[in-house]
Order: sequence, then C-alpha cells, then structure tokens
Amino acid sequence: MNDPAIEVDGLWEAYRARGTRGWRRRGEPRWALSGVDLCVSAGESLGVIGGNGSGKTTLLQVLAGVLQPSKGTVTVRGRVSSLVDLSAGFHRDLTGHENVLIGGVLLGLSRAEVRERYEEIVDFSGLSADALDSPLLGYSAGMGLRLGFALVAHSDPSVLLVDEVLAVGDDAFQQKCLERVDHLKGRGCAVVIVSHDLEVVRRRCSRVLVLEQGHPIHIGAAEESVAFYLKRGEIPAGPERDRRLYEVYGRAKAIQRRKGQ
Amino acid sequence: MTAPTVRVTGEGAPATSRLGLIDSWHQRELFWTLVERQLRLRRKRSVMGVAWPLISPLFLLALYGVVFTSVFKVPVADYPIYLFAGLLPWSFLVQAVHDSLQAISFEPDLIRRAPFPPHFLPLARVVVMIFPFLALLAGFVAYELAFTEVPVSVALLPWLVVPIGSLFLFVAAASLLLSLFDVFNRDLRYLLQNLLTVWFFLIPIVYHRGMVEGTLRIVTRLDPMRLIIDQFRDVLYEGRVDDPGVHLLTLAGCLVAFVVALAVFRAKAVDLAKDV
Repeated sequence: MNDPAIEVDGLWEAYRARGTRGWRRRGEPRWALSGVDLCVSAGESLGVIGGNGSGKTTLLQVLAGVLQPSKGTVTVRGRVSSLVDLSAGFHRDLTGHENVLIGGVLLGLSRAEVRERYEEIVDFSGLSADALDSPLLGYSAGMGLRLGFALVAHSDPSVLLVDEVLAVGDDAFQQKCLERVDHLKGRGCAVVIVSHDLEVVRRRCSRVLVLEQGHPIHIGAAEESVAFYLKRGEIPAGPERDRRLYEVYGRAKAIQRRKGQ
Repeated sequence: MTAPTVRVTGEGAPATSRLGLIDSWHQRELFWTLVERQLRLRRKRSVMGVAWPLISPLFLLALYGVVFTSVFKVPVADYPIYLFAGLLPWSFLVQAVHDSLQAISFEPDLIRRAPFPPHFLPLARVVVMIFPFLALLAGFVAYELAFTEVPVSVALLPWLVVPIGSLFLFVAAASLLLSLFDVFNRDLRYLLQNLLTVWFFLIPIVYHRGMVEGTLRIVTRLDPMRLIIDQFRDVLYEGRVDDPGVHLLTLAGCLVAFVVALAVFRAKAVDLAKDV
C-alpha cells in the first residue's frame, strides 16, 4: 500500500523524424526527455513547469501509457485518468451525452459505472440538457473543457494527469476544478499538473519538477522550484547564463555521455 | 473496488508474448463501445447513414446486371443470382477496407489520449460492416428460397459459415495492415481504388470462371478472394459443395493470415501517438 503511485526510473524518450515518404526514420533522435527520475506517492501532487518544448506533455503521455519509454522504466499503480488536451478524446460529431458515455469507457470505467455517474458528471459540468443533446461542434472551448474535466474527475482515478487545460475555463470553474483535485488528493489520488500558471502550481503542488529541453533541471518544494525557474528566466543569454546552465546540466550531460549520445 | 492494476512500461516491463486480441472483460466492453461509436458516427450528417452499405451492392447488382445481360451477353444461367453471390462478399471487402484504411490516422484524439489497443479501431470498423453484410445475405437467401429455381437447399446453408468466417478473417487481416500502413504513408489513399478495380476484374465476379484462359487462370487460382467467392457460390448458386476440404483449408489459411497480421500490427503499432 505504501508503494508510490508513480515511479519513473531513468526515463528517456526519443522522437525521430521520418523521411518524406513516411518510411524510414531519418537523422539523429531528438530527446524529448533525458534521464527523468520521479516518484509520486498517493495523495501527493507534483507540478511540472518548463518552457515550450521542454517535454512536459511528453512526460504526461508516457505516464498515461500512450507512449512507451525509449529507455528506463515507468511504473504506474492504479487507474490513470488524463486530461491531456481539450478535446479529451471526444468526437465533434457526437453529442455531449454520447461523448461522455464513450469517453468514460475509454477512461477505464465500465458502461454501468458511466451510466450511474452520468447525472453527477453533468451536474459538475454545469452544462444544460439542451447542450448535452447537441453535437460538440457547437460547443465553445470552455464547454468542452467542462465536460472533459467533469468526466475525468468522476472516473475514480488513482493517478490524475492534467495538462495545461484549465486556463480555458472561467475563474469559477477553475476554482471548482482545483477544489475537486484537492478532494481527489484527499482520497489518495496522485496528481501531476502541467501548467504555465506558476501561481497555481506554487499553491496547489507539494513538489515541482522543472524541465528544460527534456532535462530535469530541478525538483524540489514548490516555492523553491518556482523561484529557481523564475531566476532561470532572468539570466540574459551570455557567458554567465552558459556557466549557470552548465552547472545545472552537469549531471544530465554526464548521463548523456555515459549512454553514448 | 477492484484491485489496483500496476502498469510497468519500458525496460523493466515484463515480457509479453501473447497476441492479446482482447485481454480482459473491460477491453471487451471497450471494443463494443468503439463499435457503437462507429455506428453512431455513421448516422451523423448522413441521410441514409447506416443503410448506405446495404444500398451499394444492390446498386452494383443493377448496374452490372444490365450491362452484362443486355450489352455484353454473358452465357451464365440465372445471371443475377450468380452475380450477386459474388458481389456480396466483394462489396463487404471493399467497404470494410475503405472504411478501415483511415481508422487510425483519422483518430489522433483517441490515439494520443487513451492507452487502448490500437487494433480495436480498424477491427471495430470491420465489425460494423458485418451487420449490413449479414442482413443482405439473409435477404438474398430468403429471396432465393422463395422465388427462384436455383438449386439452393436449406441443408447446405450451414456450409455458408465457412466462407463467411474466411471472408471476415481475411478482411480483418487486410484492414489491420492497411490502417497501420496509412499512418506512415498516404499513397494507398490514392491508389486503393484503382488496385481494387483491377482486383475486381481479375476475379470471376461479373464473368464466369470458365471464361478465364491462359496465365490469368493460374494467377487467379491462388487469389484468396476468388476462393472465398467461389465457395459462396458453391452454396448460393451451384447448390452443392464438391470439395469441403478446400473450404476448410481456406478458412485455416485465413485464420493464419489474421494471426500473422495481428502479430505484425502489434509489433509495429508502438508509439502511434508520435505518428498520427
């Protein structure tokens, strides 16, 4: 029972572009994640911050089981629910109602469970009955998010993965979502939140991982990590920045050399 | 509350050697939910929706029926019956293959989000096509028994199960491989129609198998679709099964093809989220 919900051991994830004909993978692999080690226990929340292309979403995809690690081992205990993009796997031609039924089964619920919780989900989303009977085509981004989050939040996850999506919701709904996340945490759910909203990350996460170009350059208490990240942004490009970068990269680079990159 | 599942991926993952067509009870529900999703999607923004697959073979029957009885006079008795017994399995192949070609490439949202077996997507589309096929087949048999002189006997009808099984397995194997191919290379989208047309005329569907001569005869002899169509005709047109061994052998061959296709698919369909 005391096993951590998420264990990541030396995770490397590579992308390799394919040629124009789509067959051969060409060129050197581009490492989206390089040597990430993580451990998130039940009831804990981990924030992940970093610039664009730093590997945040890739990390969530690996945790969700959508991508296989190129190197390293990832262990996830229990049901994983992820809200990785706004669409939440919904189809635009299907109605909100149909999407919830189908999306729920995709998340790992049984059909009976989805039907049981349907009222609760709809209630949480705050969408009208009228909206639920019309195709998602006519939904605003916020409405899609409401339905997606409501579904994910009611799927009894042991591990909840949330990508930069809450930003689309209005303040009231964001607040509701964050409260729901706290509630799930209280029930022993491990939460991983990817966000550019440093304030949310600082307040809601106990620990924060900072990624830069796939390298885990810092992991620690929320305040400390966010401060570290902010300070990084303040160093202008130049020899001083390079020196500081080398300091934090030192370990990652060393691993890279050892693995023959 | 079910026992917590532990998922290990990467180097420390336990080796899996199983084919894993459908691994668990939940996966069975998931598969049927995807079938339902496909059926619902077919109904959207469409007048006839689910009924279109029923209409297409009937349309071809009318077209080829007129062309090959009044323009080219094909010397085949009960030509419409002969024709339809071949058109029916052929239409199933064409529709299922067309539909599943983009089964994966058109669903990036599903592939990028949920860790579910990707082979469910093409297979769900094949299963959806089975319903109109079986409905037409049942209607055709009823029509034959009630209104025609064709020597179809009820006692022989159970033999239909063998070519139906072969057809499904063969089409499922083709759909798996094609849908995976389409993820990496889009050329088949442009070529498939032409390849299917050539294949259509290589198989004695509109003409009689006795009319094929020379090398073409050798080429078509090994064509699995030709074997399957002939076997449908044995029951639905000739009214006798002379070589049950060939029927069963074809079924075994198609089963092997399906297992191989599934194994190839599972080996190659890794990290599809990076490619769709």
